Amino acid sequence: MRHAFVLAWRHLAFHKGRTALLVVAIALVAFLPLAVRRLVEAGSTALRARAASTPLVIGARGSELDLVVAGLYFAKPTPREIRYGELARLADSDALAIPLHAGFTARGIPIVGTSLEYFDMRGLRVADGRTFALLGECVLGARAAERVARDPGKLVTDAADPYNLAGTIPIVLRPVGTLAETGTADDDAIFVDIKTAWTIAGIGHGHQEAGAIRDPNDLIGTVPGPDGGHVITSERLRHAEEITPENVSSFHFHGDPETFPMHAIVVVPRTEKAATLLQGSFQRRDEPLQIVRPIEALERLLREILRIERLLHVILVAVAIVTATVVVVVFALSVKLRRDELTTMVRLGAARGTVALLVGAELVLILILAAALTTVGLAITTAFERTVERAMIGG
Amino acid sequence: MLSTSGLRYRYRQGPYESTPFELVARDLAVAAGTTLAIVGPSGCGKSTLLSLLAGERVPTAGEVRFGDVRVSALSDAERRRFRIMTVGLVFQEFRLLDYLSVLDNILLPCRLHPALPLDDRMRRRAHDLAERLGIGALVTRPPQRLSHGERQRVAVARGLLAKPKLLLADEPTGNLDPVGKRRLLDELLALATDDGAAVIVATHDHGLLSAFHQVYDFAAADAEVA
Repeated sequence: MRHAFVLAWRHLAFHKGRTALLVVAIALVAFLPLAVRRLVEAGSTALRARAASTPLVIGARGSELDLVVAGLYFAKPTPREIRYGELARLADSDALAIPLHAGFTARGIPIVGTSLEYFDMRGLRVADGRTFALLGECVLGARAAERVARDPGKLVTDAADPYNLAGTIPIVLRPVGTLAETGTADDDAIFVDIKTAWTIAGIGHGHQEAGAIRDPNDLIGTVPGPDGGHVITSERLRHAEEITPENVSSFHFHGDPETFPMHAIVVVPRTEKAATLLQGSFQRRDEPLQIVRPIEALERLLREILRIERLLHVILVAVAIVTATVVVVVFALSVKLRRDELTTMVRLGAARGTVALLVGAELVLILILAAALTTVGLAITTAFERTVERAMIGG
Repeated sequence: MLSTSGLRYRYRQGPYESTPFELVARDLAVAAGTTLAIVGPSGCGKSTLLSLLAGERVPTAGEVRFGDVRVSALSDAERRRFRIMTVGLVFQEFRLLDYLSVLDNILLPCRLHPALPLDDRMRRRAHDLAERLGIGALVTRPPQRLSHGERQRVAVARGLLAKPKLLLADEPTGNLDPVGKRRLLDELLALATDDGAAVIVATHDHGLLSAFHQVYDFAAADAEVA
């Protein structure tokens, strides 16, 4: 038996090209369905876990899935804005309500404007530093921190529309902490206080004190008013691009905070009854908001994904049959081409069973190599589970 | 030691052949340590006779005896064991395996039958044969990097590995120059008979016949292919 495997191995090693082709072909046929299954399973499990830990999400009426994806994964498309004042509607309910503002990015990493309760709700732990306390401060998810560390320099928000002069002005965010890795979408986000998100949106800003302007070119004039007067400045008035302890007091918001935007409210009812009551309160026909159970929206998505996977499996079965046929044909041709060699073995005294064992040993070795290659491939796919999870929700 | 009597072998009839061919060989006897040349024109049945003597084929009539053993009456498995343990074979086209080194080609019989274990004694024997046949420095090379004559020597070494009591060689000197032929034949006969083997060589080269104790000529009246 050992000699058959030695001879088979030498033969395979001598015909490296043919061996590699067979091994790769068989490995691919085995790898593809297994990898798809593994990734879909891992993705589904992660999606379900995330959804299960987020009982309810409230947002503007529209696609339930978009709302869930934005609320749980901070992924595009960003749902329509809702007013911050909607939080007040939940004040009397027996539930924890956490605002979420999404849509902005820094170096392509999503910025999530929220409150500190979000960290408690998700069980997020600060591994290094502290949570945000002042305007402009941010806490980085574990993988976001790695990305930021790769490119030293100030962390500046991305301009939403660089050609819109009235749009948002990029500001510098100051990282003050890094979260421990969780293996969820929180690892890939930058968390700021929702007021910082409003500042990025241009609703809040800081600039030099108009009353302290000395350069006459910066002043257009003053308008008398009942309580003193208003100073009218030129566009040369310097706006702060970075919020620092020195200028933080100059930052202010214009307008009523109740009307300021956010994109979703994550709701954690304390009882099932509270959940039912909340869901009922958003069922009116003219209700501009919707309340969604993320697990239900994701289950619908997963059913579609599993249907696609089944279709893929049918295709792969066809590919497997073709590959198996090719392997059989290649082996049959190989035996035919090796007729002289195998006949020599029989003439020297080998039993026909020994010759069959030799050919069988080659097939076994090829299958072992293919299995090893498949295992390596599957191990590598583990690194892509997060990517697939995001791909499954279109992020 | 080796003898035949009334040996006949009917070839399988091909689809386009109207009459079957039958080899009818006259009786022969070869003692231990002696040599026999089988000569005759191409297609006369030299290789078939060798395969009958080796127990590769079973005669349709008559018998092959080796000492007390009736080779032609042995079962398939017994004949395989007889070949591996008693007979050394040197084929016409060497039949070396491209994917094995010279040394592994010489040792190949040990990998084919459990009765011939691949141990240190066999490895030493293989190295010794390679040295004596002048290919000692080539044992790690693959056969395709050897000259024709060197490959011939590897095939001879493989045939002699198990110290056979009967060495059967089919045109072992074919395609060599006259000097090379004679030298290789002398080495082969000396190596085999030194160990007490009976040697039978099929050849169509009448210039080599003086090296043998006996000659079996298919052209003689009492041996024919009918």
